Amino acid sequence: MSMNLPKDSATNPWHEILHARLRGSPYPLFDFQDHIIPAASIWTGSREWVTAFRKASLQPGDRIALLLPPSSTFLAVLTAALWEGLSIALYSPDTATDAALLASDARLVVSHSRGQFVWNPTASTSPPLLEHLPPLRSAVTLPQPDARFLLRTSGTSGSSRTVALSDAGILSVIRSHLPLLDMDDAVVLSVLPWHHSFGLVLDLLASVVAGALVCRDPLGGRNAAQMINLIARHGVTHLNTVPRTISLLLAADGGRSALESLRGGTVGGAPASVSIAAGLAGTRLRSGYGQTEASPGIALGPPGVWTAGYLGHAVGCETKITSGGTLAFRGENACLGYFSPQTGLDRCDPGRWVDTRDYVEVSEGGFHFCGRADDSFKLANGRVVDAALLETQLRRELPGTDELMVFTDDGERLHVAVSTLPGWAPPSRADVASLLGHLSVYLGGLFPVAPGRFDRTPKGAIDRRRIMESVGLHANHRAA
Amino acid sequence: MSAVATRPLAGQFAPPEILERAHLANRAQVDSLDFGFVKVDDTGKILLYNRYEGEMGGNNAAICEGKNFFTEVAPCTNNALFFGQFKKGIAANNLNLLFPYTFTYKLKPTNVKVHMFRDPETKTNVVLVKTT
Repeated sequence: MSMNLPKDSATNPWHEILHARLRGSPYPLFDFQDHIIPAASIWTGSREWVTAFRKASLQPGDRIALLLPPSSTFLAVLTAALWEGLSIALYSPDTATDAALLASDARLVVSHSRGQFVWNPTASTSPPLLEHLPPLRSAVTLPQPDARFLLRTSGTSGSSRTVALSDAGILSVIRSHLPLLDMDDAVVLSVLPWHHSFGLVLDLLASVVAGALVCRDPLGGRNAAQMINLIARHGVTHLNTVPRTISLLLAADGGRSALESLRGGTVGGAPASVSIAAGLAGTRLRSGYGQTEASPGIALGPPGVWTAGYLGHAVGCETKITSGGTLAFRGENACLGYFSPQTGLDRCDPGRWVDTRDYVEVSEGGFHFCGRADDSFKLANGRVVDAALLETQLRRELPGTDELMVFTDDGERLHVAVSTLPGWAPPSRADVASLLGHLSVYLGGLFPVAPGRFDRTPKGAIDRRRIMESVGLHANHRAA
Repeated sequence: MSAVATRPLAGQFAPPEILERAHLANRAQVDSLDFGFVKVDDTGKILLYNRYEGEMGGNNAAICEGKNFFTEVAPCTNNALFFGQFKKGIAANNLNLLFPYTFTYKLKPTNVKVHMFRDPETKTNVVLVKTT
């Protein structure tokens, strides 16, 4: 089912891909549980939107905001917008339409909600009636025909920004990753949000290019029993997801065997803990690492190779370790730049090294995540505590540790929250103090967290703020 | 009439007698139906194609009959969830499946219900389609 992707960036590369893959074709095939749509009908649906966009005189690079849930309408609008070379700002369907309009300086919003400059889909996948198309908003900033997607970074480890991705960047990731993903005749259980880069590029667009059968989970991976049922009922072969979903599955009856039945899939978005890595060993799932700024692919692990924090090998880009110990990448996958609704696109040098701000260790097996540089903090006396490196050291030295977090609430004391694997007692205060060395004088609280109760973000990264709150502390101190 | 009494499926749009008498259906009868009626052999070759389906799909019976429904007339159905289920049902001599699908009718995606049915005694197969 695989196809060669065009490399010519002088013309719209999506024309060749979408025409060859969708027009009149039975695959890719999307099963949304309450409706099934084959590629051929996505194609005809998209032509209606193309007609509407042209009637409204939208030009390549004009921005539209898309606030639809994963659905056949989402696919029809996305296909049409790619065809027309529009810049597509993707948001959660819960986003307020006026907020999305302003944040992306868009000319229109496609949403099921009402509002000014909002296009409401009609019928099965159709645009508003051509005779009654809502007016377009006047954008403040210039159209950028090569900025294909505007995506918000998660902001879980720093302030959220809007990243502009190009066709070349996205297609380079699909081109480099797809041959490794064994997606011939794939049946994909899709649980990731399509308005984030991982779900958009490596789940949705890779499945489209591969001509897969995509079973969309209406609950977005939040219910283990439903996922297990879908995997069995549809003969699912691939699952792309985040560690949090894996932990849900591992905790459910039949979850482990469901994971073991899969032929492939990528787990990314956050590093795997000891327990999740142990649960994934023996499956054919692989680690995937990247960031929205990397369109979003940087590394992939081999199927079934799992240790805590393992990220995989570089795929489709160059990598290096910076003098500060963080991973940097360079290549076609690098984003065009950052978008601001006031000043437009701030372009970056395409040949630059992009610092991921993730500490990694390199071994023959690839990269291992050690923490976020942005999690460092400064104590009131001016001493900088590199939380990520300290956490890595403590995790390594304290036997039975599953999760561990070092933090401060007041800039005076350094606290440690720790959860241990089943059967292990929490470490003693003396053990932790001895490992902290000269920092031991700052040791405040040692907070044992019950196994499996270490709060995580929706992707599965440690939710530092919630963990602080759960032990009764609040962050009153800024990061370094 | 087939001795097989079919238990209606939830959401079934075709009267049970249409299914039970599918092997006897003639053109006049199927052309009077307000849903698509396509009778196919075990390979998917069209034996009878009614007016409703022809009008919706922009085809006519004379052109479609004799062709394979899944691979030639409606190639968007040549996938695991449509033709694949048909083939499984034929192999098992047990096919009674109702599911939502999206056809392109008159250049527009159109939500439909599809009912694939096989009478296990007469080995008659029908694909019924109703817009929703």
